[in-house]
Amino acid sequence: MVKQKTRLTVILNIIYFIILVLLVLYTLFPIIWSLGNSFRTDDSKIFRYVSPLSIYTFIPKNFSLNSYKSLFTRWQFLRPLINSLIVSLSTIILGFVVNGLAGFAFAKYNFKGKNILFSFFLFSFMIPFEMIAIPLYKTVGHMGLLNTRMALILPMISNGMIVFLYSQFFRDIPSALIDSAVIDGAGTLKIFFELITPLSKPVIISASLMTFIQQWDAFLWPLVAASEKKYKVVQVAISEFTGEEKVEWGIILAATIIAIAIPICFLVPLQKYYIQGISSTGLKE
Amino acid sequence: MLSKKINKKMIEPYLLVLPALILIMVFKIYPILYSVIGSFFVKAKGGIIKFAWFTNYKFLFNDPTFTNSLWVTFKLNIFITPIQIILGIAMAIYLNRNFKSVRIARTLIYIPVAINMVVASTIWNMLLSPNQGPINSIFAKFGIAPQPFLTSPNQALTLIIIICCWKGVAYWMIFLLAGLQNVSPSLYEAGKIDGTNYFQELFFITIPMMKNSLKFVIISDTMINLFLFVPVYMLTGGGPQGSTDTLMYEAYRAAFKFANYGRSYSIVTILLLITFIIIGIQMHFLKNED
Repeated sequence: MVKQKTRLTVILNIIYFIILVLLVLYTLFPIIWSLGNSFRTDDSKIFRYVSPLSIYTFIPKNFSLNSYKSLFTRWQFLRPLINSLIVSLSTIILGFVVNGLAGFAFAKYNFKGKNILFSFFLFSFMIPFEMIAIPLYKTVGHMGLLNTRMALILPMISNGMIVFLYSQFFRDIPSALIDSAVIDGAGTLKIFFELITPLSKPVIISASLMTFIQQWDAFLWPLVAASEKKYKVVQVAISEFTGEEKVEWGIILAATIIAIAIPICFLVPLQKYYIQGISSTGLKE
Repeated sequence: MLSKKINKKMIEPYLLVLPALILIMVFKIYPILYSVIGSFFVKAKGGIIKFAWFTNYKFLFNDPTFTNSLWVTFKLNIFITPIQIILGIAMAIYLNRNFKSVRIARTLIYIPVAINMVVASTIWNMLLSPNQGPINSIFAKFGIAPQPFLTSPNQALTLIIIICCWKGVAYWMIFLLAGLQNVSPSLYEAGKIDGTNYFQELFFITIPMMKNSLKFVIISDTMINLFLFVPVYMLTGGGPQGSTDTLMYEAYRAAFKFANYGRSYSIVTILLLITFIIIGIQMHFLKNED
């Protein structure tokens, strides 16, 4: 009886792991294919090995960095890459100040309208960016900010979910600590930047990752607001590659691999913080 | 208890919230109002903008392109959100085991969360290329005839759903898994004593305990899918034969291809209305009984 049960458990475990492996393969298959083919010597090789299917559909016979070289020389991919990083980094830094201060107010003060304001912030996070991109184009146009980096940064700074995240974290910082700083005569901003900020590393990392992913994922807005060569971000540059017949698959794949590798470099080592961040916001009412 | 001294300065909390509030008002709320109001205006001859009541809406409902978009958006949303959420729940339950191998698998399965939809679309577009794509050569290996994929009006919308699931399910799974991990094991033990089977456990313990995260996921996912744009733009351009022409893509085309902002704002406003109705219904059914 006992033996039978363990055998069943073993079989179930094997099935479990087979499905697990299939799930991982399904997730990774497009990425593996892109990665392999971005290292081909030239494009005709991609098509030659697609059919019939073999291991060489995925892995090149000779590794070459040609696609990456021409991506950065002929297609000047460095510029959109730098643009994306500047935009993300600026949004992260400004977002910390703006959302952090708001979160601090919600965590440590009692004031009239606090609950309504807080719900309003949470609600505003739910608005998908697509909903506002078209009218925002006019708004930002009136401000004279179209085709500037500011057009990409400003609308993304204030984020209800991140305000929420900060306020949750700050709530757990003992008020006695703040009180003693007040007694020492420190102003609110000084308290925020010199006392609270150093204590808040985990939440700052969570919020930064969320902001980074959000900027990295935005498309409709950067497409309409900053498509000029000078300010174009990675996503927009890649979308233009696919529109142009003359861009080879190898080069497009090299671009996609870079666009995948950069967020993964941050996300995999810091995954714990990212998951903590988004799960603590999703669990609450 | 916070020091009375800073609590006395009653203006201070407002000043701290103000920058965030202004940015949200200017960049989120104002544009929404702008499109609602703008939907009642038309561009008359000579470029003068004038108030025209429901002219834009009248045009829309007499326009087969728009009614087709409405239908496509309906078809898409009736499938995509439930599929994503069910898969999200299933994967969360499946991956809620604390083995090293499962943790590694989870890390790998999260990867698409960090992949931009433009990138995901670009890669899948190549994979699904009818003549040169590897999916068709995988099909050939199994003796399946080559498929037209995104060039077929019968397959394009389904493929968009599949691609969105590839990219999106892991994201929702993170929320749901967090909800699951909040379930106290004592609940399951109590269930075991009462002799519950697996499905009773699933429907009476697991899913109700995920309710908070589920609520959040359902509402956010619904909104995102109602406004689905990127894969349509990247993969099909609304085609073939309008089979993937979602409302959001139609709104984009009206504004940025035809400079017909009145039409675009009306479509966005209609989407807004649909969103409010659906979210309202969801809230009604998901509200806590207690």
